[in-house]
Amino acid sequence: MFKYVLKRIALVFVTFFIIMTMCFILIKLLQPEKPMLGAQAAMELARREALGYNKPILVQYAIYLKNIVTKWDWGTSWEIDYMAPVNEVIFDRLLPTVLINLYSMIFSVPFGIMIGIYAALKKNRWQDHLISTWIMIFVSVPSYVYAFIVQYFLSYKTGWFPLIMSSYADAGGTFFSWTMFHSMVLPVLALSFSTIASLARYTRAELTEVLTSDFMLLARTKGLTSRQATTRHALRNAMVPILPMIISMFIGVLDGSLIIEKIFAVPGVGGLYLNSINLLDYDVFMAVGMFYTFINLSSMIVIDLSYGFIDPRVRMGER
Amino acid sequence: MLIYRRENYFMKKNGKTGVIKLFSLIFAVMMLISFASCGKKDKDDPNGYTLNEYIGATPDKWNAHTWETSGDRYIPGYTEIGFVDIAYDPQTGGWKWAYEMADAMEDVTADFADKEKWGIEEGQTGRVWKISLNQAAKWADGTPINADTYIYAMQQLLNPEMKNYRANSYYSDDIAIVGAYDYFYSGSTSKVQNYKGENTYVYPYETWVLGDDGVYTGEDGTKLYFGLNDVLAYLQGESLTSYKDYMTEAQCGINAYDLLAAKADDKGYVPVTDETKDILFGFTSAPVWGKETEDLLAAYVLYDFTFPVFDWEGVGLVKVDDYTLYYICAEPISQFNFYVNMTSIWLVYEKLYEAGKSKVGDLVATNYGTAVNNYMSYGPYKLVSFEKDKQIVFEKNENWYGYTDGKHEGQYQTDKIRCAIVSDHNTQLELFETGKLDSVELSSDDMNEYRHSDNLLKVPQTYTFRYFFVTDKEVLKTLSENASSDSKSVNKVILAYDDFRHAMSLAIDRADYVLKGTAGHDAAFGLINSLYYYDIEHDPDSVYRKSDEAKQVICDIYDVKYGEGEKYATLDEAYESVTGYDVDKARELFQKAWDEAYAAGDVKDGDVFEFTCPVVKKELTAEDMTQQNLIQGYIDAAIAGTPFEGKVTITYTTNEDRYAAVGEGRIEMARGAWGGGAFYPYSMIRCYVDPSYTEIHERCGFDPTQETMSITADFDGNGTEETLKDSYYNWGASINPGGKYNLADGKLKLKILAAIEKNLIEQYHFIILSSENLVTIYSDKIKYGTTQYDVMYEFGGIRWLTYNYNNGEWEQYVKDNGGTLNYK
Repeated sequence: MFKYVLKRIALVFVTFFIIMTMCFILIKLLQPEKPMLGAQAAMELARREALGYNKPILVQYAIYLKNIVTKWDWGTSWEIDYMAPVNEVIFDRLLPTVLINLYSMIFSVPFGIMIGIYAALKKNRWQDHLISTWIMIFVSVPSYVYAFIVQYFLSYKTGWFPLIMSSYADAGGTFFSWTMFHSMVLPVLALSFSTIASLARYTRAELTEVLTSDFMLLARTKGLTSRQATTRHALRNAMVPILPMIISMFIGVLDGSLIIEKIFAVPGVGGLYLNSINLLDYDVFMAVGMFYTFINLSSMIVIDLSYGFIDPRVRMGER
Repeated sequence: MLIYRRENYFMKKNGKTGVIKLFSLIFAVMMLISFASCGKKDKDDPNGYTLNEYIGATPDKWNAHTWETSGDRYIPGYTEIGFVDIAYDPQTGGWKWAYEMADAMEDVTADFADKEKWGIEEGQTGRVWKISLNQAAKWADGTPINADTYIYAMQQLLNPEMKNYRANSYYSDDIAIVGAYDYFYSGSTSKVQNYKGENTYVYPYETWVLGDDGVYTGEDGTKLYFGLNDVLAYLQGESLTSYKDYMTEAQCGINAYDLLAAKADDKGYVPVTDETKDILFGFTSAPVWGKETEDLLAAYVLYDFTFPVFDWEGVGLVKVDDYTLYYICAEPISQFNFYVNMTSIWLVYEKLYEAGKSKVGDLVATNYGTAVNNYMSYGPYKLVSFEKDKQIVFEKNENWYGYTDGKHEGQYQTDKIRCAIVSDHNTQLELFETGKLDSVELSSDDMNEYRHSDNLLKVPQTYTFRYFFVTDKEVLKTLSENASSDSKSVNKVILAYDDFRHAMSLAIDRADYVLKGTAGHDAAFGLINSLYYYDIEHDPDSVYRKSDEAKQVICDIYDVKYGEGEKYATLDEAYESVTGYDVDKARELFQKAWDEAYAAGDVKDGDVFEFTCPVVKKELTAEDMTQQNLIQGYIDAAIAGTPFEGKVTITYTTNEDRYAAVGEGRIEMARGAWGGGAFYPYSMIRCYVDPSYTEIHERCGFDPTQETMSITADFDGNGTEETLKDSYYNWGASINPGGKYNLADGKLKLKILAAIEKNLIEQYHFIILSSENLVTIYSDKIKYGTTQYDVMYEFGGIRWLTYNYNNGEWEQYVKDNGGTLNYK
């Protein structure tokens, strides 16, 4: 197991380096737009020259790597947050995204599982059919459609919630106030519907399969009630493929939703990657890209290993 | 039994308790998080006046030295103010100059003692301006602002190590300071272009000398280089790299670009040798490049030039005393233009500016003006909160002189400005309708509902939208070949025919287009719209488009006659009748173009005429698609009954760099606009005729430095008219600073300007569509100084904005209306 983990970690670094190289070369190949007025075009060219953008790409990459290794300097933003270190650019925007995603998860996971369990227990009855139809609709419809709907009905029409997320200043200088939470309810809801539907679908599918297994018959024969057998045996087996999904969702709290953030004016990371490409903010593009690459590569290891913890039958390296 | 008891311990009769406990725990955690900090909400003073507005994107730098976009100017609009301001005058209903950071500014050239030192000729005016500073001016922290502050700020702006984006405003534009250029480049060595315009060179081809090392030099031994990456005036703002697709064996018979690149250094400079000369000449002499002669190789050459070391003492911003400056201009400038340019100034707060400096690569930069804690205000408001992608908040700057000097009574009623950063239009509209925003810009879709609202404001812009084209036949042939396939013959060559483009112009029903496809644009027939003044300094009513000369241009272009025996009696009537829409004439011209092109073999039966037209950088909107469909409808109607029927399509698309794409011949057409410089249309016209000023969008087929036009006028002022012929470029230069007619009678300049406009339009390298208006709707909470727009003061600005309700009253008003306000 330990050797397996070490091997996976080593592979992560190799993959990371390959992706970093490819991203660096690709972004540098994009032609920057220069101002149309001659004097400012000359100024922009001089600025780019001074920043070393005209050096050969591999030379620039070598300098970039050297700065990371020797100074842990991932660069400076010149277009998105002028002269800000890129880690500041990312982390300034990370907390709102994380909070909304986290709240969404805290809300979605229990609801999704509960609905899935209920549907599985009521299999082929009208409750199951109703839930399945609902799941199909909510999985199919994109989250920004819910965003418009909840914004219109729960805020514009009724005034129950603010139209957009509160600012830090208006919320009293903290992200953990009632004002801030209240303003996050709508984006949280918009993000939650499809997650709930997705979890409910998987839970129902897995649980219905497990409920018909032989060991469930044994559990009932032992004298356990239906509910005892379900919660103590069936559910645990059904969660084997679902828990890793939930773990990856937790890791996914770092991902921003571009459209939701735009609709509710959330100052998150959702649009950062796209903006960095559009504006050719090289260092931000690289930093954001590598940040998410690292998170995703690490999460794959965590998810793989989690299978072993949840189900001893699939532990790596064991004979 | 043990198991049963343990089970009973945890599970009650119906087994729900565990689940309920789980939910309760989760809910408790959520509430704990929520109530963990009951931060004090920043509520507005109910008796105060808060302006709630929005912008779509966060400004990233508002430092006076580095700002780039109009979005970057949002914050200084409240936190800074110029030496003078153009203010609405409610007493006259017009505008006036309001001194702010200066008490006075006067032209002292005539009496200036040191003329020789500064290169001022006797009899010149408008060169030396004495600025008496406002002694009450302070930074928001109370630090006084004096002459030293301005000197320091200008030294930083022109600091050669910093390469500030706005430096050129003070070393090469209308208000260039004497010596500023030399100071900016002091001691630096850079490659400069051999070509100086109008077929003149520093080192003409015939003077080149072959050195012992095989590298050509000028007569003085200066080594010569070809530059692959440098922007060249000869190439109208492009570089050789921009044309590398033409420098291939397939295009010109030699892999010129690759061969030169192999000999270039890391900056793209190639020493001029016999070998590299031959390589480049192999390209420039090819038909694809126009078969240039060998002596024109001099136009691609650069050489090292070391600027002499230049001290600050030679720069014409001079401290006279603590509160007096001399601003010595490199060229004469009129009072009006000087004042206009001084409505924004170059001040920065030294302590924060220096603290924010760092060196990245070879560039010294400062993060001044990027956050609350690295910026200092000196205007009526100060920045108190800046949350990226979220909100910007301003409050009154208590240290601003204007609140106590007695000269601003009744002004600046606004206590606080809260600006939300919201990019989604639907959300913006909902915020407005729920009273959270005090104004919102409307789209063309919104106009269906708000068209008749009493709270509508139309804000004219200087931008006139047009389609512009590639008109070079060879380039169009290449584009056609690239777009064609075995099953489809796409023809774009037809765009090379003037009659075809003219027909397209006449096919467009502009009145219908602006009504159905835009949010309040005006139909446009000329390049220069009604926001431009040709002589505002002497005549505040000198709107270019209202002049007889400009009206005559339109009547001539659209062939509308007036006078005895004609349909219209006067020029004004004829001008008002112009619609630019004549389907019958368009059809006639389409037929004519077909006949001509068919005879020349440029079109054949079976060709389809598919044109791709990028209109924006990134995303097409519903409004863009509506416009595309409208234009297609007009074209379809006009080509009915001609050989083009059913074969012409225009497809809107996106392109990050559509202006350069058309200019370089990569796409056949695009839509775009020029604007700005409303007080000086003579400068704006350079965007169409001066390649050293900017890239000419229509340059692929139109060379304003070579193509000529004639103008008949009394140029000498002796009462006799004469006809002179010159290039478009020279005519444009003649009415700008340094030009032959720049200081001539206003009427002569107007005539030249009108003639340039007419000749440009008649070439149909572009088709004019509409003038932009922004339509906004404002809430009942606020009241503008005036609802009559004026380019000088718009609607009165924040200076004259007043309120019908204070914050508390407005909140109650919205509640009383059920939380949603109806302005339809």
